[in-house]
Amino acid sequence: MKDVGGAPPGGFQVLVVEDDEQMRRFLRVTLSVNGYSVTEATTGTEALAIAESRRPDLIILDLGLPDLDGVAIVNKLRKWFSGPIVVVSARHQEGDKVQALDSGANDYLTKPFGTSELLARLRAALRQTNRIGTEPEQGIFVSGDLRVDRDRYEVFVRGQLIKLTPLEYRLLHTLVRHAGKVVTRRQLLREVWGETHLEESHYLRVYMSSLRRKLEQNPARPEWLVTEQNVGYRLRIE
Amino acid sequence: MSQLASLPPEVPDGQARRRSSRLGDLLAPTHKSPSRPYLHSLLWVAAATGIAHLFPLVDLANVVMVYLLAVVLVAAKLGRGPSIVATVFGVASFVSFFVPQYYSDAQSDLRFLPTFLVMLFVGLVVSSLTSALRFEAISTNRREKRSQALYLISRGLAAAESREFVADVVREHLKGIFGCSCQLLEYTPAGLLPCPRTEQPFVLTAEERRRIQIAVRERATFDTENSIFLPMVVANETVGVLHCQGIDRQHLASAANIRLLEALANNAAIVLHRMTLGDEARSTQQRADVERLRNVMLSSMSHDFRTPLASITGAITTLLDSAHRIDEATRIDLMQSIREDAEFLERQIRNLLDLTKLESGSLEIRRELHPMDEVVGGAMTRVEKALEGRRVDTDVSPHLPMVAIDALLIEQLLVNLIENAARYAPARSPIEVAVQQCGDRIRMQVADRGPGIPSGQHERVFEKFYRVGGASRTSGGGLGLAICKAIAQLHGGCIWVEDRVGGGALFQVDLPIGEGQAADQTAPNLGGAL
Repeated sequence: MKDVGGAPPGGFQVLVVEDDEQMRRFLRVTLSVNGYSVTEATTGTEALAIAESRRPDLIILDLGLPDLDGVAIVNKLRKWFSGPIVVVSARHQEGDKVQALDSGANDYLTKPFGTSELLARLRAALRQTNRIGTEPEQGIFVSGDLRVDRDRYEVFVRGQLIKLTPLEYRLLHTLVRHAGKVVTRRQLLREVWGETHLEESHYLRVYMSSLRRKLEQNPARPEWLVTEQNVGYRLRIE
Repeated sequence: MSQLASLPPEVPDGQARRRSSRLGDLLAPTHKSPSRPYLHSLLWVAAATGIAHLFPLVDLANVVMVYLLAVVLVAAKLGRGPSIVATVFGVASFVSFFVPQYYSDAQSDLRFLPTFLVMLFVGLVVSSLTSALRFEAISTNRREKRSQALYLISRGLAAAESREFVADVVREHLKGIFGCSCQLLEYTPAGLLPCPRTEQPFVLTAEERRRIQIAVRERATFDTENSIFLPMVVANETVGVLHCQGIDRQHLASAANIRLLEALANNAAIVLHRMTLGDEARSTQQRADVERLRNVMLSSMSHDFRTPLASITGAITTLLDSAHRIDEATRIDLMQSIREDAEFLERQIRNLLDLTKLESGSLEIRRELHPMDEVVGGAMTRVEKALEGRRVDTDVSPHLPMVAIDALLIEQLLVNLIENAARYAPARSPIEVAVQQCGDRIRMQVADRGPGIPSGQHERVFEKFYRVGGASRTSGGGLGLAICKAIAQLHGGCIWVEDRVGGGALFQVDLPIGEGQAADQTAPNLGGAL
């Protein structure tokens, strides 16, 4: 397992799938400067072939490719590729973005995005997949003043024990498991309420709202439980 | 006319129509057989003879008077022709029945010759004078009825607000006066079309079509077997043709009737012309408005896009060409300006697209129940970078119900308001965001300590491309608030700005909470124990 905690990502190989040359150039330069090694693909077909032959650690996938539908590429990749996929979308591809996330993409970036945003997303995505498998559901999670003890089912904010209902705890637990990464509404509904309640996003809002009131100092300016409107929620990590 | 003067000021249509049909009776020619008045005049002569016989009259002069009286009456009642007949027969009867009775010799016949001649002469003069008087009375009467009809039609047309109405008025009156059906054919860019357009056109023969063209060109009335076509002329321009179908030919014999029809056609023409001009003025106004907006938009866009592009190009050129001559601080400064310009361009394009989508109605608004603190939180996360550490105080009432909104749009609205406040207010002054419930509405407030809105511009700030204090890039693209307004309106809400006590602007948005929000307040606890 490669080290992800520190600043230099230690030669992670990233496959950039993007048809626009300028955008590709920007990603290549930025990623190389920050210690990633970059492979490029300009079409979906090419991307699938390269992914298969080069086995990258992470894939950055543009959703507006000329040949294949982005969601279809995610579906195809997910049959064998377990590494993180970060999708890049333009603003008019909101629906595609959520679908791609539901199909197994790990996170998204909306054009235009800055370098720091890009690097933060990649770091979170890499940390995520590396953690899965080793210590998936246990241990103590800490982000700033928030501490979740997953062995004892206890949550502390600024040292204070917070009483959560079982559902609130499961919701928080799911977000912690994907810390730093966006979790779609469907994903949350599936994991907390089960397959039969995938369309009931208002349950989610009600519980998220009460969870926020318990954890956040100011629910209107959340420190941890961030809403990604029309997509889902993200547990922000420090 | 006295009849008209006594009318109540507002005559209901029905009454006016009844009146016009009564006028119709009077205007219509008599349908009696032409020989009848002559027979009547003979009866009058016979009656005079009888009277003179029955009552023995002292003098022949009295007998003559009785005959003259009959002639006068016939002239007054039946007109010129019958009165001449009455005169001739009266003189003949007088000579046959009364002269022999008084004088039996042939000589006396000769002596009474002057009497016969004078009697004949007086009879003819009286009959012609009386019948002229009668004709005058009748035609005065008809003239009055015609002008009354025209008056009623003009009044009806003056009140017309639509082409349908004009056609109805003309149809009603022509039906009442002449018992014919009619159609207004109006000149349009597409040719001669029935007015109103929805009407089924009368079937025309090829000959009629040809002659309509001539009528239009020469502005001349013409008639066919059962129709009359009248050009409708205004200010030397033919606006259409009035086609009366099934009109009695007897009506057309009278020049006065034709004049009435022509006057009516011209009256209708004036009204139609007025409507066309009104339509044109309106569409010209609309075009001018669109044109003005387009100009504002183009000049604004060319300014908003070209200025940042020019400055980006300039900065990059400097960085590339004079790299060795500029110090580190300048280099960073130039690159920051490039980034700001690029961000401005991005925002401006996004706003333009958003506004186009919102205004074209192509945007489907997805209303779902959302907690307001989440929406405010989402907006705050999005503006974080733009705020550059500036203080924003949020005050969201903890007991708000969930609100039926499109959260993405309302979040955008808040983002725009907060960014707007950040742009205008001094860097160190705080921005305040508050949400509370006001009855069945949710009120969102964004307040700043900026310069506020210049007086009289509180409405205009929500207009497209409007910028307080002229165009400069720091003042934004002039679209943010227009988007806010469009979003608020899509939600059935409203947005306005007030001056804040102590300086600054206070933007307020009211949104309806939406129906049935109470039912969904609680989610079923399906999770059970862990």
